[in-house]
Amino acid sequence: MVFSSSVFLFAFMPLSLAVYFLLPWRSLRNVWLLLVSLVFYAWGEPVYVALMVFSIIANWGFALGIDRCGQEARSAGKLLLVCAVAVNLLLIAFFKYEAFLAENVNACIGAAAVPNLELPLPIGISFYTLQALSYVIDVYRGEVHPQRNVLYLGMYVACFPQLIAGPIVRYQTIEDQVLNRRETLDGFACGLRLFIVGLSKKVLLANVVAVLATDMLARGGSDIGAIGAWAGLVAFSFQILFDFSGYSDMAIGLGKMFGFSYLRNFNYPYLSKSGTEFWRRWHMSLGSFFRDYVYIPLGGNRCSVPRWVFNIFVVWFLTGLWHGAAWHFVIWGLFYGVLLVAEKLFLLKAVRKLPAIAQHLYGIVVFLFGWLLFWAEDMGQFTGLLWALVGGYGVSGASTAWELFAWTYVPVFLVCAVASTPVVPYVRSRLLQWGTGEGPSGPFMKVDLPAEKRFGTNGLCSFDLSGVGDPAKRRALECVAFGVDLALLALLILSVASVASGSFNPFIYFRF
Amino acid sequence: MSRVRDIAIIVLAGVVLLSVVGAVALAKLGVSLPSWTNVGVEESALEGEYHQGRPVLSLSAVSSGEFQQKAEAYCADHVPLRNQALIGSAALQRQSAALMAALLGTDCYPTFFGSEYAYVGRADALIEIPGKKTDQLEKLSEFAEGLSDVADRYPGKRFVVLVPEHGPGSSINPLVSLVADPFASDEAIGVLAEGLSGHPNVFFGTDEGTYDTLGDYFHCYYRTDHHWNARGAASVYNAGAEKAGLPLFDYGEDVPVEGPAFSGSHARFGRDLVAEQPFDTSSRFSDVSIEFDDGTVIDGDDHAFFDGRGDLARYQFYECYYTHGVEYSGPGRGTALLVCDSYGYALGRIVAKQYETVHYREDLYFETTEGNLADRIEELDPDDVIIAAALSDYCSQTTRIPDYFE
Repeated sequence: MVFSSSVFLFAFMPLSLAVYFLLPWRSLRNVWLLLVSLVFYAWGEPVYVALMVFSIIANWGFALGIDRCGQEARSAGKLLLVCAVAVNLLLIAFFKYEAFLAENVNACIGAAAVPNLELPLPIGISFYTLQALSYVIDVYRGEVHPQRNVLYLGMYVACFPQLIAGPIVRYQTIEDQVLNRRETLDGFACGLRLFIVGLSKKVLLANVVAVLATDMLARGGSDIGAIGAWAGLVAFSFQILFDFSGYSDMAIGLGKMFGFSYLRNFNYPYLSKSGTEFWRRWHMSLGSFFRDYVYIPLGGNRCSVPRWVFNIFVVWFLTGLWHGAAWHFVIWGLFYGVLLVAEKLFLLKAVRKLPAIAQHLYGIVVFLFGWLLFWAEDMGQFTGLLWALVGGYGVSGASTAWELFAWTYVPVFLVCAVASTPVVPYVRSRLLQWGTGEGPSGPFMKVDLPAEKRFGTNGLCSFDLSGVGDPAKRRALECVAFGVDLALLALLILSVASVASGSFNPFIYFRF
Repeated sequence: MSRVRDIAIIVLAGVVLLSVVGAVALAKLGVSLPSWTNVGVEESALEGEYHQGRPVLSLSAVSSGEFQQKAEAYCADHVPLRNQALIGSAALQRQSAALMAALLGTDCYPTFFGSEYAYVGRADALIEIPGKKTDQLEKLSEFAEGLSDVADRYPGKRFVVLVPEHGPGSSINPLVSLVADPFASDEAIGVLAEGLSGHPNVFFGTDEGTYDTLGDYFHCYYRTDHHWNARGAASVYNAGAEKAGLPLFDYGEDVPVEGPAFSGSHARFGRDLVAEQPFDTSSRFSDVSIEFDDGTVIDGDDHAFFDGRGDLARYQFYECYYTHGVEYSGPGRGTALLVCDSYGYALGRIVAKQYETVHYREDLYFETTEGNLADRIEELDPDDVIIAAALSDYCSQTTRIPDYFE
């Protein structure tokens, strides 16, 4: 089941929330959340629920075992950790990478030595495996206490808001919230607003530009020429941003409705001025996972330059492979590995001497090229589109500019461009400054890189007027807030109408 | 105050998200609401489909995914104001295209993102965007060759092939010049005509190239649908009849049809409810009787399927108004076999006016298993075989029924 489906919006979500708030005790609410999460998962993959249940029980057992070993039997604990990591990695390797492995091994040796089982990919396995791994590793490190109630651990691993498309929620983030979270009216409303924002991003922006992206890029460079290739690539860039960040917003919003406080996953990545900055703003929960569980354990940057380069390449190889069992994902990951090394060694110094606008342009070229690598499944597609991008097939290839219909999307692109900047938080902060009489906080485009403490989401979709003393200003700002809520309701109605009408609704996480 | 705001947005969003549950409950309770609310409605005339029935829960249905698929469709189909949602979503997207079209100085733009139809402002019409040329010309040659073989086997019978110009590739369609390498009607009709030439008992009637303006063209074809109207049917029939030496049909003049304005298939699928007031010929058909496959017989002026059908009359005027049966009786002499697709609906009574008996067979649309054209001729022994269909159905006939001309 996906959030942008009729069943979820009109049946599953209202029903699961209604029953949840009717249940009087925390323990019952947790169990209910586990049950509906399993139903949510089983909706698309009835058989693979067993795999998830196995993963929950295995990681629960491993974590308890590791905890029992304690400091006294550290080596036994380490052995259990290795087993836990191996089981989790074997599961994902078998179900996600078996076909890829078989294809490549058989191609290398020129014989069908490894059978290609062509297993369907269990949805969300890449997300819940990383969550489970972070849990057992953190238990081993002593950073979290093991969860003794298998049902509660199951609720954490399977929790439907973040189950199939993240963000990757570490157990340490919600450890305390399992039993001590507070569902509040304010939190529920804030979560609902964030859910509506996310749904609108997914349905009204991502799904719309996906029509163009799919049509253009799939036709190949020679058919679409420069206009089609650029339009397709820009459309795909907006599609993947609003699809993924919209889904994260919905997940965080749903979490808030249930009383959870997840961390932020996206922070206006298309404002980045470098590849390094891009990855501090894009899918932050994945970046921090690889940093904390792969890069730093390998030695991070506190080692020789060759070793550091090796560490970087391991991380980016894995990042690419995590996104899908195909070489183009690996190449995409390694592209960022090479770029980040180059930026760290010399490139960033040169880029930072450029005017700000040129730095942004550099950032845009970097992620556009990255998405081209990400999209193109083989060399033929990649070179064809690249050639089209530089005008090798003329302005519109074998088509006319009219029939490409890229021109019809220009207003949508403008909306997408504005929506990918912090225009809303900026306007909100300016309004609050006006209300409180405080001085200006800074220019629009200067959105600071988030430190860990700023990953919080409590400030999203809230408009706290408690600091506004002047009654007239307060009334004015209350009117603005009501207007914003009306706009959100209009967006909800438009999104729901789009979902009901069965508009193009691709689900890009199947490969993740 | 913020508490009030919080409660308000939760309640209002709740109303939206619980709307399907509410609608199904109201329908279950027997509450009667207007059909536009989509509450308790079981079919959609706009989409031309029945709503999904309630899915039955079973282990096998869940494990196969059938239950989930049906539940998804059930929820989507029972959203209140569904038609308005469909039209509204498309209209919102169309604004983007319309704005850019205005800036770029064109009056042709798609009706929504990904639509196969474009709105053409100068004619206030919806036209299918022309497709690319593929193997259609070869398919038309195959059709011509097959039909010629059959015609040669029955030299005593006249074969009249009627081909309307209407279609996305029509030379009068302004979209044709906006698309690279389109499948063009004039070239296609030329191939079909050439393939059928040289056979003395085969006659070819078309209106291709006869229209000087879009106004003339849309006098014979609907602006929002993929069919001809009575005038178009009469015009192409007379073009073929004249060559074959058959009696001509006297169209008379246009007479407006009372009822809701018509938004045809292009409007429905293009989700742009451009409407047009349909008209009919002033000729009467009370001397024609139409028999249906259930044995019911009505006279040719009866529009039983059109009268009082609400949304159906609005969205499917052509199908409802131009009643079509399986056997027609008329005031003329002789027997005809009318082989057609839905273009036969408007043509049937016109042909029936010229014969004593017309056998109506929609072989150019359905994948019939009842035999091929020669079998039909053997069985019904018509004096004339009249063939009428959209160009696209001529192209697909030998694929749809490979042995039709055997």
